[in-house]
Amino acid sequence: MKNLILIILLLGLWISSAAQSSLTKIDSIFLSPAYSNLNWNKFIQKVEHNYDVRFYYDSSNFSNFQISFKGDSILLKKVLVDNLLAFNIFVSCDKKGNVFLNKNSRISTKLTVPFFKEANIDTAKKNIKESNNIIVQTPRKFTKQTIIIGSKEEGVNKQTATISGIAINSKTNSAIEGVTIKILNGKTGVVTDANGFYKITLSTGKHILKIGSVNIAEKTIEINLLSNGTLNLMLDDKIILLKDVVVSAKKNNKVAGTQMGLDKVITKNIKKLPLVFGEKDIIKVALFLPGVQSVGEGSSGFNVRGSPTDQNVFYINNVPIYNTSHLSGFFSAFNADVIDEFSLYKSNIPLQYGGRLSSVFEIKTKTGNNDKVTARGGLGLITGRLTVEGPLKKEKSNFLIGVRSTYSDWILNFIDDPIVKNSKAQFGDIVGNFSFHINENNQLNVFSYASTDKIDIFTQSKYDYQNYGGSVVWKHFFKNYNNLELSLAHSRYEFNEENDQLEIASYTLNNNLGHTEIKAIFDIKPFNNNHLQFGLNSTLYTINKGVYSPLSNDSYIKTTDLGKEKGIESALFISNEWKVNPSLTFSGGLRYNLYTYFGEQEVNKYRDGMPYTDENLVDVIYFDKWEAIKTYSGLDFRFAVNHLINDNLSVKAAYNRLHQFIYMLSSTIAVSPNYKWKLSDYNTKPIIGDQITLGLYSNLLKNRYELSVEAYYKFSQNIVEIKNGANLFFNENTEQATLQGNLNAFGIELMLKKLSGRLNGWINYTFSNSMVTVDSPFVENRINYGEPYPSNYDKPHAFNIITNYNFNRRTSISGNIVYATGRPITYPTTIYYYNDTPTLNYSERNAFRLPDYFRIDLSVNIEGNLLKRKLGHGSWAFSVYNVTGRKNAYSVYFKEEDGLIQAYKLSIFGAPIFSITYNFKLGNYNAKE
Amino acid sequence: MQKNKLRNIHWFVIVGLFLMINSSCVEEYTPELNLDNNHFLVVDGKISNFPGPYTIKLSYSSSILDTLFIPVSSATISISDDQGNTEILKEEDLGVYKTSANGIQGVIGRSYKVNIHLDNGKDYESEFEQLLNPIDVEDVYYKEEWQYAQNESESDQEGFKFYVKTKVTNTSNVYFFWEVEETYEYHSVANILYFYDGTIISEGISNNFGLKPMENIYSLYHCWKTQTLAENIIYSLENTNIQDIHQLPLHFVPYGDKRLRFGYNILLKQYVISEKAYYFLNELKKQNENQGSLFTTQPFQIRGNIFNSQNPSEIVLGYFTVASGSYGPRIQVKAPWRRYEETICYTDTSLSSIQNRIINSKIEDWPIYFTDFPFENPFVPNEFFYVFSYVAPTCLDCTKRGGYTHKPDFWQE
Repeated sequence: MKNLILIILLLGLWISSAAQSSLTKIDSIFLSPAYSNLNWNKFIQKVEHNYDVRFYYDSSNFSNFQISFKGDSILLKKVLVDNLLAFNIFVSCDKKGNVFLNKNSRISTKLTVPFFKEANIDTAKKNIKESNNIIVQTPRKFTKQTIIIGSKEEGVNKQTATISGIAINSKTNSAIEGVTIKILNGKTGVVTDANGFYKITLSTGKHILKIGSVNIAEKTIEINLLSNGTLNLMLDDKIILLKDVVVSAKKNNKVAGTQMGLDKVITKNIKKLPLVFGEKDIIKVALFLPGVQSVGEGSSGFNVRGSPTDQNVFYINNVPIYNTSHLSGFFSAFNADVIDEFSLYKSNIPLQYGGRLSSVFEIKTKTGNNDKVTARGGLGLITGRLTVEGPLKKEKSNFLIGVRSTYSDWILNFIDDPIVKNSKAQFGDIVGNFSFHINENNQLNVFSYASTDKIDIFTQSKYDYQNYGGSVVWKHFFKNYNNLELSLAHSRYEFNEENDQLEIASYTLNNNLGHTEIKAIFDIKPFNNNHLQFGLNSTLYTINKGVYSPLSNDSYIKTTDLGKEKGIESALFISNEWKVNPSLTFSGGLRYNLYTYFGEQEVNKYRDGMPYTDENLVDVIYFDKWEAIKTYSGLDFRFAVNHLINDNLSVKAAYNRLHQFIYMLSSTIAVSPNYKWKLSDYNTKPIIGDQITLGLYSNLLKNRYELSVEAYYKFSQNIVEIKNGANLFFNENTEQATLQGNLNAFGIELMLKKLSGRLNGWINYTFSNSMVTVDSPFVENRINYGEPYPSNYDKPHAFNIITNYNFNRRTSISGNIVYATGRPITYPTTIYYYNDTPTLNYSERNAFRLPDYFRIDLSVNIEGNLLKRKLGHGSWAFSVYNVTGRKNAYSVYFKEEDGLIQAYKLSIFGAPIFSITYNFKLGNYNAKE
Repeated sequence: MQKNKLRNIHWFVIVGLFLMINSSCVEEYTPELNLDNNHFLVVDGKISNFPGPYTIKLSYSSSILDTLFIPVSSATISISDDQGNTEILKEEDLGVYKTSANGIQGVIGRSYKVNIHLDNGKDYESEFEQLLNPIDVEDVYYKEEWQYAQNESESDQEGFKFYVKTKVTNTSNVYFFWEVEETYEYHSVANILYFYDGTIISEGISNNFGLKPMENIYSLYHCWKTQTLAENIIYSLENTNIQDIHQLPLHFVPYGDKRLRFGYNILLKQYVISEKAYYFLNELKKQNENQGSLFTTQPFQIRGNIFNSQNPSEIVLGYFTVASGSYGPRIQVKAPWRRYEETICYTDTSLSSIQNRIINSKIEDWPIYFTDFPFENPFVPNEFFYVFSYVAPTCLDCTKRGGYTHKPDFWQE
């Protein structure tokens, strides 16, 4: 014990764990009888676990004896003294909750000044010159030390000096992103980037650095900055057993930094949210964020800030996924067990991404455990999942494989309904992630993803769809941590439908989309308060519009090949973040997009400025393979500014413009499985979107609350709307079935988060408006007579509450409340007789609204025992979705029955839905994960 | 097409059950509608190469809450062809206009349009549409098939499924529209023994008040009813590669259906219509069948081919169809078994109340029929007592249920 203390002192490496310096230290800890009659090791374990104290002692001095005391509430110190005196062991405590137990003599927790100083000087002399690399190793240290950076000689006459370094997780040796390093009493601070790197320029002299992040134990370091130097931070995971924050976007990030409209969620934090069927589902979590609206229960995709679903893109480890749902929206296609975190960019989308106007949903999977093989999984009523991870070569490379699948559709056999009984539904997905630490400067990551869905509705139709994708990412670090990230990704989406409802019209239809993307990003480490990134990317889209063919010999269907199309979207981009002064930051950049639509194709040319109809067709032009048919180019802008009014309050503004060259063709209101993608082509122009955002961000009550207000205005040109009654599926000339119009949307989003404490969660409210206008000089090219109409996803009021309350460390209860205005719908307003049958005549488009949506969900999570070291850990999750059983309308429709018109309301989850899931972890996971 | 509309509800049920719950539900609902009391003009008419008279119905649309046929009277409607022939239709019933039997005739190859002049001064007309070449029906036949139940309240049913077979010689797209005219025989619950028409036989028997006996006690017992199926059966040869339609399903009638008890005869009218007319019918069909589901397309106002001549943007509903038709061969079927049909009949066996009924009856009630009605012995099944009774007219007089006692010429015994 003494030796250990000495070594640490001599290295001069410690800092205090003052971050935990609340007042509750040893003098305020009273033990209940539950602590009595425990053997020594158990006792220590339990106390350390439940209170913020650390014991330091030489275990050879402690035989295994029992701690005992009488009384309901006895001071810890008294318990220790009473029990240890017999062994001649002295108890010393400091203010930080460190308890030193020493045989025969008392340890002084106050060091003498000379001793301290000498140690420092020694350290400086020894280490700084050769490497400038001070590793701050912090766990369980109990005294405060000043770290000296640089040397006096180099710092002569210098007013400022720069510190740089990386934040490393002491356990996994991986870099940590998002660690904030704040200068106490100053306004400056930095956040480590994706490589854990940070750089900050300060005046020379003494500073106190406060280092923190959601995942790591917060700590304070005192430094004495003499000249430029390096300070690498070796950080520990927060040691919290089984204590989860519900969901927290990374703390402190919202106020600082220029990013707006970003929501970042870490998967481990969502595990307690009550979700339908007890399945952790990141897309369902995203729906609780402000400005994100569900299309409807049981349909995939979502609408971000009043924009259509095809303006969102999903990337999982750089692989774009084109269908993100299982069972057509009841589950998301991402297994939450393998996901580390996701970020949803709603505005000011990073310049490395382009091609989608509304949002980028960026998912990052976990990397495998470098140390040992572990497994986790869950069993629910519908699905089972298993994730295995471990080293391939210890400390060098690792793997993570996650599988999820439905058990079978046995349950359908129990149902009397003949169609249901004979129907089938299955889905599954698999994720593999392999990381290779080649050497200090090179990292390689290989990722693959596949998902499949099969739905067979007896005597009617069968659908199946698949996503396949993979990526290889190579990261190279140059000197000084500049880096290059090179990635190659490929994704493919396939859809097949077999329809045998009517034998003579039975058909199969299949279409697919390929997306191959190469991207290079150079990241130049901060210099002179600037942070520069530039690069290029290029995407090849290949779409097979589908082959429509007869299903059987009795079918009259003619095989029709709707053809293929290709396009390449390339971009050069550059972005910079400039910290003008500690309270003012600008960021911005440009992205030049070049899109070319390639042959081989026959292209319809219509009379100039006339509607796309057969009558106006003047020519059909043939383009050869890889012959450029049409090229569009456009410049994307991003501009953002952040003014930090004080440490806890900032104002931000952003403007951005994006271009989109691909869109979705779907004739249904909800996103049913049978949609397909289409590229901008000779006749269809790319979609252009502008967005202005203004926001106010504040941390309240010592960062316990986070309040933000964001307002936006969006204007999109050339959005694609489907003509009334158009047939998209067997149509070779989709330009004749679509029209292009404008979308105007605005809104204001209020969000209040409570990040810590027993009760945590968030509340948000969004007011928004989204209107579409399709006007033209030609009557047939107007929708709704050319007048603006609410988009299908216009929901003026939306309100969400997400809460989690921890009763104790094993039991917690979570609840959600969701409210939204009903979506717009077209109702019939008049009725007429045609062919002696009452027939409905519909109103103007979207002139009515469905009843408002309201739902409450609850769940209870019970963890298994809290022993830190054990083979496995299990937990139960019980949840109820739609507690009130409110019959929320999915749609309202009207039917003629026996000469009368009746309206019906269809609800998908019109009753409370109970579910139970058992989750397990094998291999002694760090319980916080 | 019951099947089609249910498909989507099933989609939810399947997914729902898959999740061990059957929570999806459909319930009746009354939405708040701030109804516009717009009355749009509705035109429903057809001309074909079949001999006239041809009918055009003119009405206004009504509010969704009251399903009304609001006839438009005293309009001037004319049908003209591209050769300069015109006939003005006569209003035979409120809002129902007809050509004369020896008036204008649909001729293959000519184009026809309708002109409408309302007494409020507004003028409407349709575009010319050509009467295309009709296509002969090759055969109409049936298969005895099982139809799978479509929901829990149904069960699988066996019955007749009718099909049409047609040779298509045209190479271009053909748009078909079929009308099924069905005729079936049905019987009264009991024959009629006595009637009262204001007079009685003086030497009457005490237990029937001296009521006159029927001359032919089966005169109102056998009836035949003819009606056209309300369903729009349409098919297009777009995206098909066939020379003949050999098995296009028309409709299904289960064995247990009352129409099959004594004989069921169908006449198929096969029409060839224009592409525009086909899309009009197809949209109507889609909107009625495909609502409220995952696959719901955006509903919209379906415009036909009639426009206001002065103000083309005025909404006019309905369609004036120009159709070339041909008849299919008649076929007649009968169920292999009859389901016991339980008909509830109002009966009155109290002599005093019967007496009052006779005494208080008015001329418009006559004739009133009476019979010895069979009542089943509750203790011995299939044993009947015959009791003199007054019986509700719909149980004794088959013409009260919409049919005629005249046996059609085509009827096969």
